[in-house]
Order: sequence, then C-alpha cells, then structure tokens
Amino acid sequence: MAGKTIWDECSASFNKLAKDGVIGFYKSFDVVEIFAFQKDKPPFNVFSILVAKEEDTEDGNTAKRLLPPITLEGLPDWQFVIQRSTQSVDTIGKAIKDYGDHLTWNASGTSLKSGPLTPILGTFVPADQKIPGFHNKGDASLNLVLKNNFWNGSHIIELADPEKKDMAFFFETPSLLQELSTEISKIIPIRIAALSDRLGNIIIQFPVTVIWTTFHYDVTAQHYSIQLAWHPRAEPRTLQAQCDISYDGAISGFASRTIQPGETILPIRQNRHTLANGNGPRCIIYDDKGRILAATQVPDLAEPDTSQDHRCEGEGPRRFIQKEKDDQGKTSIIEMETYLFQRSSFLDKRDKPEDADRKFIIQREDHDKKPIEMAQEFPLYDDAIADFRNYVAKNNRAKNEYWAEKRIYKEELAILKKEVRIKQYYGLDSDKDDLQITSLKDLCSLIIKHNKAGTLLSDDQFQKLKSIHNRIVTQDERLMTLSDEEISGLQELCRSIQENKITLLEEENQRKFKAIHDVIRDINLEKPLIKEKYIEQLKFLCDILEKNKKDQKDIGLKPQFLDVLVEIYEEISKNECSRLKLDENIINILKELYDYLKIQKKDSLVKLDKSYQILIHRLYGYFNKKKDRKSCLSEDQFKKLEALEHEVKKSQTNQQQSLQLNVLNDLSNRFNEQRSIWLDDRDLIDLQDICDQVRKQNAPWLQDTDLQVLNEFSRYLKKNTSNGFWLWNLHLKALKDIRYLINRYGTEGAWLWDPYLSAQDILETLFYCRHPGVELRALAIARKISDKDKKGEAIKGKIDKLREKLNTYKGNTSFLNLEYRAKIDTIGSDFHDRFLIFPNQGHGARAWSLGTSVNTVGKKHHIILECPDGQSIKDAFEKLWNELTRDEETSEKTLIWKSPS
Amino acid sequence: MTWNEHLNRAFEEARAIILPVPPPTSFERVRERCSQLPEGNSKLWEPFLTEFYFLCDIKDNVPVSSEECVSQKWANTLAWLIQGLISWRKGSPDSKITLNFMLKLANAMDRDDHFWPQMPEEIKINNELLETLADEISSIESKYEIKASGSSYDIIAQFAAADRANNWYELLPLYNHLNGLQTDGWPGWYAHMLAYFNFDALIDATHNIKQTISARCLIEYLDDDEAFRLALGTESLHLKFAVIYKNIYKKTKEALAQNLPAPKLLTEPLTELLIQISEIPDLWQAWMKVFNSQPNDFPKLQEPLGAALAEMTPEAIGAYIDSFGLHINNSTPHFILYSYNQDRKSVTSCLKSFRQNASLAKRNILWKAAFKRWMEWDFHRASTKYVPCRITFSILDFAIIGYLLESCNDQECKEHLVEYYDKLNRLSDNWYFYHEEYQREKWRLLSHMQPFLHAYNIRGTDQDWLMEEPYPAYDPETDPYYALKFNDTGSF
Repeated sequence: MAGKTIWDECSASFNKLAKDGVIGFYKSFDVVEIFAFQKDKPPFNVFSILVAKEEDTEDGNTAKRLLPPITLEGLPDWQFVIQRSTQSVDTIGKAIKDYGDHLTWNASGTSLKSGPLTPILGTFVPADQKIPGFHNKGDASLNLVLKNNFWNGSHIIELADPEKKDMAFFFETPSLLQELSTEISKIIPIRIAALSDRLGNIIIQFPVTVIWTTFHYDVTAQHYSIQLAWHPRAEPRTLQAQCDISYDGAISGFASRTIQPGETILPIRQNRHTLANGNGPRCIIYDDKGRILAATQVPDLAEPDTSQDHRCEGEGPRRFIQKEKDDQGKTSIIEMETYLFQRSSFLDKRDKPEDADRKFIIQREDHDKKPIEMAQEFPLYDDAIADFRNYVAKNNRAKNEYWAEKRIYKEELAILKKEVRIKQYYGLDSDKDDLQITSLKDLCSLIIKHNKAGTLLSDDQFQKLKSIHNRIVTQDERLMTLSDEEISGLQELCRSIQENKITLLEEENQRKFKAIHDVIRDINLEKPLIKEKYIEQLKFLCDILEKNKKDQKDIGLKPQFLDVLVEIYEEISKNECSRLKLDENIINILKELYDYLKIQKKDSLVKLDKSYQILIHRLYGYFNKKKDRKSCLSEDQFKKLEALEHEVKKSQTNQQQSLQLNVLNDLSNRFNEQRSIWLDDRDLIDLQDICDQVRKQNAPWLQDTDLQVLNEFSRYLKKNTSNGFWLWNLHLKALKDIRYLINRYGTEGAWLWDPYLSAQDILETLFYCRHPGVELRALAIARKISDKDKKGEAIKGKIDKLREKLNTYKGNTSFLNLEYRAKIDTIGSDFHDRFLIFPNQGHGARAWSLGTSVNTVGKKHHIILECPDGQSIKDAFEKLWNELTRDEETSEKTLIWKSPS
Repeated sequence: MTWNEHLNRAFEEARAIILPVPPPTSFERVRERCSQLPEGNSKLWEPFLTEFYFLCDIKDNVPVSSEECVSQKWANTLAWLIQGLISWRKGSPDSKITLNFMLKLANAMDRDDHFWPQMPEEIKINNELLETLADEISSIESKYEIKASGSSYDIIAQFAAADRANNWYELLPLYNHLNGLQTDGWPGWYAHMLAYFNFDALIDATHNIKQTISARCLIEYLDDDEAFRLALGTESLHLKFAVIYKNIYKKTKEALAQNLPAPKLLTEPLTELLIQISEIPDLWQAWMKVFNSQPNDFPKLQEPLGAALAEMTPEAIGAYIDSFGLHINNSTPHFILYSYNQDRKSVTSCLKSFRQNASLAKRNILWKAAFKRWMEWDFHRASTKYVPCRITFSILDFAIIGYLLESCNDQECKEHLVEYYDKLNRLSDNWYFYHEEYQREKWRLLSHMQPFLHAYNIRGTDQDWLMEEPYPAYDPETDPYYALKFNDTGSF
C-alpha cells in the first residue's frame, strides 16, 4: 500500500474539521468560484472560496452565476464569471479527494482548470478586526477574502497554485487585477487585488461555531475577561485560554487559564511600551487536542488608560504669541492659547468623550487694541482613534513567501498621504483656476453689494441674462453652449461698464466689473463652451439679478424737495425759448416726473421707485454739465435741483446702510452665539463691502460691536482676495502637516533641522507639540537665518533679535522643553537639507525630509517624505548638536534660546 | 390697592364727571408726530407714556401715587374716553388718530380683561365706530419692516415669502425669529374692542386675512376663549394658524422662560379646531408636517390632537401618520437621543389620548396605517447615510404595539416573531466586508423585533404599551450561546 499522500492528509484534515462538534456543526458549504475563460477553452480558476455553514442543503444545489460575465478592457478576449452555489460537506470532501486522484477541481458541477495545487493545512485566521476608514495593517491579510470571519476566527485549508501561469497577465498589467477586483467587490465583498498572491488558489474556510466567545480588556483591573458559551448541540469539553504580549522580541506578559462557560478572567498587564509599539496582546482558546477554537489579535476594542502619561497638572495651558505679516506689510500679533490635549482614557469610537476635541482660543487685536477671542476646535478625536488603531495593530508581516512578497498593492497611496508619509505640495500654480473664478465672484459680489444691478441693466439685457439663467437651471449638462447672441449680450454688458455708460457704480466697483469681461471673452474664444464651474457662477449671478430686479427699493422724499421739478417743467412748458434749448429727452424726463408728482399727495412723503430716482440723477447730471443752463434754469432752481439730487443719494445710502447694518447684526449675533464663525462667500462679500465703507467714511452708523466684528475680519478679507491669501493658506496647510507629524510621532521628542530656521518658524511648529516636556530641538545656521527686514545685520545682533522675539512671544512656555541652537562661525559643519526627526521611536528614530525650509513649505513645489533610515539622520543631527554643545563656552555661544531657561 | 380696584374706583369717579377736560395734552403731541412718523413707529407714543406714566407705574406694580390729582386725572381720562368712544365719528378731523389714541389708552388700562366689561353699553350704539373697526381689520396689511436691531433681513424676507405662499412648513421655524419685526398695535386694540361689542362682526372682518403677522397682531389682546371662537369662526387659515401657534407653543415657551407653570390650554375648542382643519386635506397634511416635525415642541397639542384624531376620517388619520419623520435614534450626542425620546413620548401621549377616545374601528385604521409606514421605513433601509448602530426604537412604537395587540391575534404575532428569529439566525448567510455591516443588519432586525417582543410580553396585562428598554432576543439562562451571539444591544 502506498504511503499517505499530501492529498490524503488534506482529506483527513478536512474530515476532522468538518466532523460535528469538533469546531462546529457543518452541513454544507457556500461555494463561490471566480473563473475565467476564453472562447472554446476550458475555464480556469481565478479564485475560489468555500465556506462551511450549519444550514442544511440538498446536494447538487444548482450553481448560480451572480452576474453576466465580466470583461476587462485590457483583456477583451477573456470573460470572468462569479458563480455561487451551496454544496454538501460530502461533495466538497469528494472534490478534494478527486483532485488528489485526478488533478481536476470540480466542486460545483463546473470543472475548473488550475495550476498544480498544493494543500496548505493547519492555518487558523483570527477574527477580522478591520474597521471602515482605518488602516487595518494588523489584521490578517486573508480576512480580505474570507467570509464574515468576525467572531472566533476560522480554520483554513488552502489549495495553493504556486505557479499562477494562467494569471500572468495580472502580474504584467496590475491595473487589470484592480479592475477585476473592483467588479467582483460589487457582488461579493472581497478584495482580491490586495491578495494577488492568492490568485489561482482555493480556500476552504471553517468558521469556528462550536463555542461563542467575547473578549474584553478591563483597563482598571488590568485583566482580560472572556465570555464563553457552548453551542447547544456541543458536548462541553475542557478549554484553555492563553494570552501573551510581546515587546521587542520578548514576551512581556503572559497568562493562561482553564476556562469554563460563563466568564473567565485572565490577569495580564499591558504597559505603554507594548501599546506604543503596536504589540497588541493575542489571546487564544484551544481544546485538549490542541485545536484552536478562537483567537483574537486585538481584543474587543480594549484600550489601556494612558492618562497618567498625559496628565498635566499645576500649570495652565501653553500660551505664546505669533507674529505674522499681513498683505500690507504691517505686522499684527496673534496670541495662541493652547490647552494640552489630555487623554483621560484611550478613545473608543462608541464612547467619544464630549471634550475629546482640542479646544483653544485665538486672540487677535482690533484697531483699538482690544482683544477679540475666537474659540477654535480641532477634531483630534478621529486622528486619535486612527493613531490608536495603528499603535495596537501589530505589524503582522506574513511569512515571506514568494508570492506574498510580490503583492502588487502593498499600501494605498491615500493612507500614505493621510499619515503624511509622503505629501507633495504644488505651490500657487495649482490655484490658477480658482483665482480666475474669483473674477466671476467679483461680479456677483458687486451686484449683491449694490443691490441695484438689476436696474442698471436694460430690460433687454436683463431678459437675455434671464434666458441664460433659465437654460442653466433646466439643462442638466456638464457643458453648456451659449449662443453667439447671448455671448454678445454678456459682452455688451461689460463694455457698457468699460465705456462708463453706466455711471452709478463707483470707480472701484467698475474696475471689478470689467474683470469679468476677460472671463467672458475667454469663453467666446473657446467656441462658446461654459465649463461646469462657470455654470455655478452664472446661476448665482442670474439668481441675484432676478432677485434684485424684483427688489427695487423705493425711497420717500418730502414734497418740498420735489417742488422744483414741477416749477421747472411748468416754466419750461410756458417758455418756448427755454424749451428749444433743452434736449427732447430731458423734456420727456421732466414731463414724466411732473406727471407723477402731480398725482402724488402733497401732505406725505413722495414715494420714488428706482426708475424715478434714476431720472432725477440724469436730470441733475444734464443740467450740471450744461454750460448754458442759466438760459433755462435760475440759479435758485439749480440749487434746489442739486438739493433734490443730494437728498435722493442720501436716501439711497441710508437704505443701503440699513441693509448693511442688518447683515452686520446677523453676523455679530452669530459670532457672539457661537464664538466662532464660518464665513461663506456671501458673508465675505457683504463684509468686504462694509469694511470698505468703514475705511472710507468712518461710518458713524456702526456701533462699537459692529466695528469689532469688522476689524476682526478685515484682515482675513483682505487676504482672501489677493495672492497673499493663497500663499498664506497653502503655507498654513503645509505647516499643519508638520504639526501633525510632531504630534503624531513626537511622543518622545522632535528635532527640527533647517539652516534657515527662524524664531517665527519655531513658533509655527515646535510650539505646537502637545506632548508635555518632551525634548524639542531646533538647529539652524546663524548666518543663513534672515527675515526680510534683517538682511545684512551682524550675526550677534541677529541672534539677539531672534532671542528677543521668542522672549516676547513665548507666552507661558507651559511644559515646553525646547532648545534652539545655531551653527555659528566655524563651530560645527554646514548643512543644507531640512529634516524633522523623531529621535526615540521604539525601534529607532524616524525622520522626514521636508524638501524645503520651514518658512517656505507649501509655497512652492516640494515633497515631504519619510526617510528610509531615520536613525542615520538622527545620528548626523546628534553629531552636529554635540559639536555645538561640546563645552560650556561653545554651548553658550551657539544657544539662541532655551525653555526652561 | 390692586389694579382692578384702582380701575373700579376710577370708573366710579368717571361716571360722575359730566364734562371731562378735553383733550389731554399728550394727544396733541401724538397727533403732531403722526404727521411725521409712519404708523407703528414706537416713538409715536412717547408723549403718551409721559402723560400717562401712572398707568405704566401701576402696571409694573410700582405703588401708585396717592396724590389726589393722579386719581382725578385717571377718572377724567376715563370720562373723556367713554364720551369720546360714544361720540366718535368717521368723518371728523383726525378721526383715525383719535381712535387709535383712545384705544391705546384703553389697552393701557386693561388688565385681565377687566376694562371693557365696565364700559357702558351705549358704545354699542355707535355703529359707525364698530363698522370702522371691522373695516380697518378687514383691510389690514402688515408691512414686513424690521427694526435696526431685530431679526435679520433675510429671515424677514423668507418669512414674508413663506407667508405669501402659504408655506406653513417654512413659516413655523421663522415665526420664532420675528422679534424684530415691526408691527402695529392698533389691529389688536381694534379686535379686542370689537370682540367685546360685536363678535360676529369681528369674525366677518377676518375672513380675508392672508398674513400670519397680521393675524398675530389681531389676536394679541384676545383672551384664549375669544381667540378660539375667532379661529373656529373665521375662514382665514393664517388666523387659525396663529391661534394654534400661540396656544400650543408661544405661551408655553414664554411661561417656561419665566419659570412659570405652563398655562392651561382650552383643549375642547382646540380639538374642534383641529377636526375642522382636518376637513381640508391639503391643509391638514401640511399642518401635520409642521407640528409633527418635532412633536416635543408642541406637548400641549398632543392630547387634543389625539382626541381630534378619534373623530377624523381615515384619510386624515393617514396624513397624520405620514407626517412624521422617522429616525433611528443612534446619534452619538446625547441631547439628540434625548430629544428623540422626548418626541417619542409626546407622540405617545397623543396616541394614548386617541386610544381613549377612538372606537376600535378607528383605532384599527390608525394602527394599521402606522404599521404599514413603519414596515416600509424599515429603519432607514433605503438610506446609506442613516444606519442603525444599536437597537433603536421608533416614534410610532405605541401605534405598532396597538397594531399587534388590537389588529393582530396572538398567533399572527407569534408567526411574525418566528420569521424574525429565522432571519436573525440566517443573517450570516449574507456576505459582509466589515463586521459593522453585519451588526447594522443585526440591529435592524433586533429593532424590528422589539415591538413584537413587547406585545408578546404584555398581551393580556395592564402594562404600558410603550417599551422603555430593549428586549434581549434570547434568554441568557436558557440560551447562553445565542444570547452571547445576538444579545449585544449596542450601547443604549
């Protein structure tokens, strides 16, 4: 009799696992087969998974194809099929045996070609712990393709294809695999692209159901609690639970118990080292035959309390002051008050503490040097969870099998970006489009501001715009074509502005209006295609126009102001000579006004709508310019006309001011209620207008509170409309990334190495480190540090100023342990690259190359990238640092600033 | 002396005055201002306040001056007022200003509706006066003007638009922000006087009121009984709305703000009014959406609404059920959960009142409509945004239990439960990428089972129909395995 083959072992293993009561009570298998075929060729297995389940089935359940065959663009001759069926345990057992005998796989009535399969036995995959939105690197990779392995874990028999010859195209063109995987995951939630090493394999999954368990780590008591219940049909047997924690290759905690139904306690300590280095405890339950019945890598969201490490008592929050330049070159001071983030317990997604977000206050000064406080809130919570998951998820690298090493998609780029392990900045170039859009916004802002644009347009112009608007609203297309007529209508509008035909607008606003002309001209050049982004803007514009058309504002004037019009008209009507000297238009205007006034009551305010207001403006404008007006008007009449014109203007202004006042009140209320405020475009536009008014007129109608709000935002508004804003904004984004890195990895210190590192840069970065008392170092080259206004200064003077600046803005330096040194003269060697180094990250230092100096991050193209050998960079930094501190004299000389001093 | 004692004394003395001193000095100044300021401007009445400071003092519980001259002044003012109202003529000079002045005065003296009953019946004879009041009321049109420090322009504009469009749903939230809206006092004074002397004329005058803000002005000084009579009699929907809003929301909130007990509500006329409204299907549908978007905002509405539902048609009952926004109550912030539970309790108090008042046939109609809606909703099955994160209750639970206890028999109820248990045990047949997805389905099923389990447990007992705590699907004592597998309720 021949010896036992590997397939005999495989069948035996299968039978053992499938036997009632061993690890479950299985009656059938849920069989999912993904196979590919070309015309007239036999199908071959791409990936199959067979999941044992308790529910009974009639053998020979008809296989059901879940979708029409999938065709990939790059493989037009191939078709991929997903087929699902339910098969009895015996059928699957037979399929394994048959493969051993005949090397043909047929589990569901369809014979599938495969490579020379090799069984891999004895694998147990712990329960699936992955959570949506998190980087689940500690989870077993196989969980990406196993079915519902959420509870005790699953035993696996894997029939592996070590050659994968039929799948060569996936390795030659990896995007094909991604495409196929995407299609498959729409039907079955598995991710085969991330497990390219499993292509061609057949996985037989036995989820353990003979017991049901839950694991929980009790933070206070420092023990694991295991709840266990036996399947109603199972014969309870003796079980052991074993739990261990390893750190740096050593087992740092271990507990073992015989467990009983109900609750079992395993006392085991978890310290912060094991946590911080990603070594979550592993707990295994096994029976007297050594069979694993449950295993968990990261116990049921159990988190140790780390509050002791982060509790900061006795001192208040850290306060310091930043000095920043606004776009007018003046300086303003921002005082930042930060409360160190305290983690009272590690955060569980289900129990988010209400104060988990970081809160702090920005203080700014208004023009009267009064502080305005703005509460800021940072959603640190999500990051904290992500951090936690990453801490405790063990870097459970699979054994370096050949195909596993060749996995195509090792890590997703999005995750790398999220953790800022690589991030690319493009500088201002990326925002050109946005800057162009601001022209369109300006047009809208103009209209909103003056609330009279509707009346500035002729009816014809307005109708054209309205028709464009209607089409925009009704047309659900990404691109919209404007007719030539419509384009010319829009252009005509702009030209009228340019040629000063419309004179009611102030010069500054006319300039803004003209800016839109260029945009429209460009649209015309592109053979009138309006891009989606412009459609939104046009919609907005047209809505405003329509609204304003309806909202023409009336004003009321006392009759005595208007009497002059009646007087002039009556006089002119009588006096043929005067009449002849006037334009026909003007006479018509006078008549229109005269007719209107005649029907008005004499005893109350006379209501004038916009059209009459314009007529009065035109009338006054005409006589004002007319050289021989004395032949038509007496001086007294002209003065009265002037008074009327003045009154109309005044009423219009009052009306506008009242509108502005309401906007302000609204904003002021929101500001007071919420302590912080989100400004949308509309707010910005309104405020910008009001700010202008304040600057120009010192508007007496504004209250002190209004002025406070205005002054607070004026700086922001100015930035928002200039390149200065964009630069600042991009710079800030990059600075935030650096701050993120410091807080994410700087638990034991952060060193910043940049030849141009200034006091401002340090305030912007290391001052934000939330880890109390950790060693922060900053290293620069004295002769290179320069602010624009300090060029050419002697190094001594320069250092004094840096020191002075930090002393001025340092605040209370709460828990701040920072040294700022510079290479001076010949002490130490020069350096060029810029790094952010975290010196003691458990398994060695980590370092990021910044690609540019801190003062220019985000402003131009550079890449922030984690360096492969952080330790070497740390060593280089330390070597230089040691040179700068080699003796007392040198140390004193190279020290710029220190906290505590 | 109390206010009313002062007033009684003043009335007594006034009756003895044959020739009161005409007119008080402030009247002239008010008249002067009327030519300069628009109606409704508060500065209009500044001279009035100076002249009649003693009325304000008494109103604010400042001890009234014991000076005889004050007492005489009041009596003289009353006498002038009585004679003025009796002899008021429409065509006389400054008739409108005079009338407004007199009614402002009357309003200042009125407290606890004690004033008008003491006025002589002779006023009724002045038809010209009463007709003018009715005419003015019928032509009332409020301007949507704002004070400088009041509501923002946008809110007023939105309110005006919603009011014009009878968009009740948008109107309600805006209604609360109308503090800065400038309104006239006179419609309220007119309505108050007319309500006393000729209520039918008041009703007739209000049929065409199409502005909520005007309606609000009109009922400002009416007592609850008058307001409901008016609401029942008038054809103006805006007036009906204003009366309901004032009685079920505004007064309650105001009392709450002042730490006073909630005022007593006239439930019967409210019930009657609700039944009346339910006869206009579109309106009923719209108003139910308004009042049921957050039922806990209107706790006073619930009992009368329940009683009214008992008298309504199946269509109106259906509209009531359809008006609720059904939500799953798993939002993390506890105040949202709290407010949801409060809404659920409010709806339950309505349904309890309905249960007490309605016949079994009517009850079956409502329970069935609720059950159908609840099943279709299926705990946000159609939504990807809202997913259950724990066992969750619904705002319609009381009605669902009603359905299971009164519209289903025991056997049907059990069959449903068996089906649910079967689904629960087959849940892992489906394939989930994340455990969370499985949990969602599990909680959805367990949530479905809650009313069934509760009904199963309380059938034949007097226990409350509304369950407060989730039921475990399995008993840990008898089914430890399945209890461990399925009894995770999420954190409730």
